[in-house]
Amino acid sequence: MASPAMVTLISSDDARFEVTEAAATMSQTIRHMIEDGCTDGGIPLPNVPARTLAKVLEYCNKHAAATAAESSAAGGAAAGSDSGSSSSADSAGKDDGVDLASFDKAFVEVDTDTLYDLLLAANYLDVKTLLDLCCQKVADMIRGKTPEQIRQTFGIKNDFSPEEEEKIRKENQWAFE
Amino acid sequence: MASDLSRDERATLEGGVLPADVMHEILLRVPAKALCRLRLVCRSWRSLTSDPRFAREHLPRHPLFAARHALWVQTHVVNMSGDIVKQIRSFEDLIFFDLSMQPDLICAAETASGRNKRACLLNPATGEINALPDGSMGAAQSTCILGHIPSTGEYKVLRIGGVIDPVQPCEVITLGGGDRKWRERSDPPIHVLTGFTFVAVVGGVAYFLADYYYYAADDTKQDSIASFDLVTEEWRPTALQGPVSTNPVETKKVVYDPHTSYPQLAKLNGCLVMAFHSYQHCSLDLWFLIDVDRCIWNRGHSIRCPPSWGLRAQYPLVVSDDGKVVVWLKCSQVLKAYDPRIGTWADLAALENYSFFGMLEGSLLCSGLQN
Repeated sequence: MASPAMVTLISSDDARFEVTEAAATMSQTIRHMIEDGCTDGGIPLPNVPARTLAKVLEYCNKHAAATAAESSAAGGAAAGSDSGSSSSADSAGKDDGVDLASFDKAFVEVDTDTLYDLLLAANYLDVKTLLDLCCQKVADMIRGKTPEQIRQTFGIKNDFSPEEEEKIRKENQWAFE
Repeated sequence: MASDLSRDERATLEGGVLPADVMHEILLRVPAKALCRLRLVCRSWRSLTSDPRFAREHLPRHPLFAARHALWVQTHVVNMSGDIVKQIRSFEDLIFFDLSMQPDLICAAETASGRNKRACLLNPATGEINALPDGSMGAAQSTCILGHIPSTGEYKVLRIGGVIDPVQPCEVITLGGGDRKWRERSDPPIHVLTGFTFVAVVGGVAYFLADYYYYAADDTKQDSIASFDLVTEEWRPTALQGPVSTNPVETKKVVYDPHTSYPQLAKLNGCLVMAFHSYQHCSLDLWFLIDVDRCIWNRGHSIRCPPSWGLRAQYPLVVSDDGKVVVWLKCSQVLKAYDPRIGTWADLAALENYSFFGMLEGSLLCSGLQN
């Protein structure tokens, strides 16, 4: 088989990453840039610092490889259309599925700042499965927190008067039990 | 990111360090109870989590069930892990029978000590309970079916009687209407079963499975369905033929023998489904009605069941977001999920002492999801 097509990505702090096109195009943003032919001299990603981009690419490489392994296991019938599949990673085979699930779980075991950086990057780069994964992780953190802890965590200002707070507490009393 | 809410509306959400649309995606993944608590965070969180459009997006991600607890005499809202998310308060000495569920309301028949059985409506979001007026029918042998009519937004309750008698009187009431009176309607064209596993309301039509004990000698009627149109309040004159009658070739192999298999009706993911459980073949087949007018049924799932299930009753509840078929096994008191990709069953939750378990169609965040 011919060596896979490679692309170069450039982080906001000018670090260069060489990755397979299959991994890079898990990002819809990058896919569109490649389709538009703006890849000469590398693809600039001015919103993503190297530290975060390295992490995102670790995710994309793992998932793109799993997708490739799955489609060749499925008889290789789809071989040749290398840019055709990206977000179907959740239909991966049994073993790959278990492996990927544990990879994903470990992948988001990071401090909150890193997690937010990943979220922002996944959102900007439009990597749907990674965005799902990070959103779910933050959602799991949120669900056990008090409103005050949430405000502190995300830097949100309380714009309720004490009377309004009391009213909301009453209206949603079952949720505080 | 498909959303009912426009980008501008999403942008008004206070995300703090995170952009509004990312925070929106995160909040969609937080369960309803936590979201109701987090309405205290700030105005924009409260307003988003009270918006029916957000609730509509949130609902399929967090399947909830309404369940009647046999010993505690309570109605519970339960999640996929079997945790009680909310208890719906009940009147004193109240016994709930089968529940009939539609988007914003649950209809329950209750018997208070010293009183006749009567129907009441529960709102799972607000916890309100309202009793329906008494009808002309002797309530002891009747069943109430709640139906939402998508075209008008109305809710109606159909009461059908005579489970044992050859005649099955019917009456209908419109909720929130002016006169609050039951209207007598004609009997069904065939004798029907009225237990909750034999009735489903889809798109403003209540479907009832033919009473196959009554029609035991008549093959053609065993999988027939009588349809009551809640808009016109009339029974459709001809019975809807089930998958066995309409797919003789495909079902021949399986042979739905009435002695070793039984059909049920269910609403799964918005679609009318006839489920056949065969003890003999240890199988559970789910037939989805994909075209009402032409009677086209599609066997969406053909599932192997452990032989140990034997004669035990099972109720398909929902096909989850990730394609698993969730089933309640009443006798084993357990919620199970079948993964069709790997062909195995897994336990989701132990559910002790529930006598009714069904998909909650409404949201705990707010009412008005259908408007």
